[in-house]
Amino acid sequence: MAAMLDMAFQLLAFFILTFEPSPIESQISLRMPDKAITQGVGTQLKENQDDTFGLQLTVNVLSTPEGELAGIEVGSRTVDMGTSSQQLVNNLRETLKELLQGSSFDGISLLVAADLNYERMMQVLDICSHQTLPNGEPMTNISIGTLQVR
Amino acid sequence: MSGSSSSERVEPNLTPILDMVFQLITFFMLVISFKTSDFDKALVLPVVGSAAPADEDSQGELLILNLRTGGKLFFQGKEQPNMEGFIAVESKYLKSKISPDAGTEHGVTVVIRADRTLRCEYLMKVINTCRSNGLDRFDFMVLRGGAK
Repeated sequence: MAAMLDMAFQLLAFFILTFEPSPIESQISLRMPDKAITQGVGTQLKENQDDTFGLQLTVNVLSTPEGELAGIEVGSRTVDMGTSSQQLVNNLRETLKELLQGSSFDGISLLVAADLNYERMMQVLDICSHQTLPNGEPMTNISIGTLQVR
Repeated sequence: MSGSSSSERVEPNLTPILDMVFQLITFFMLVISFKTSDFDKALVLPVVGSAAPADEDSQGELLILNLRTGGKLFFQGKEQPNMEGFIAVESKYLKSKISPDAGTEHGVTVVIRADRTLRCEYLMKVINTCRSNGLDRFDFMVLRGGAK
């Protein structure tokens, strides 16, 4: 019995020493259209008609050189900056909700500045992925492209 | 007589402690994850308010790409300097593992684990390379923040 207990303790010691709990990760899942869409600032900001994926609402995400949010344009509308980037993101939620309600959009075309931080982009993407289409279905048609500043 | 109590050795009953130790071993065996080599521990994932929990039962093959600040691509702990070539080879290999009779849900999913400070231009480069290799499903890994 003692020998078995010795062995069991050794196994236990091994598992305790190698145990490394990692933080629980979450995910944002997207099925992205295979057609890259790029668009310049100030040109045809209203809507982006795509033959395969229907009418898409364009969201342009502008960045400071440090990678922080400098502004967001949804269609022809500029989202109110507020006092912080968090407020800007919250305002984006309201703007998208308002624009998608009763519209004929089938998806969102997200165009992000090359300098933008990944974290800020994910925050914007998270807001977009939580929108619902006018028919009540969740927003799954989101394409991402690089915003080309002229 | 063998029944004399003066020379009898008294031993502790080890059965309960052995039971407990085995239960602890069982616990650690169940929670240990051997998949951690896919995950780059040097990365700091972005924190996002309300992302869905990671779906570990997803069907199909996973291509797990770790992107560090500066756009360096790491796969299973090794840096991949030739990003385009690496994704082309891996996507071909993973697609070959999927049976042609499998349903549409059995595709290849690209799991992107990128550092929170990564510039989006590097991310877009990876996404566009994946797209050009016929991969269109993406899972962006994040840490879940507090309710906002």
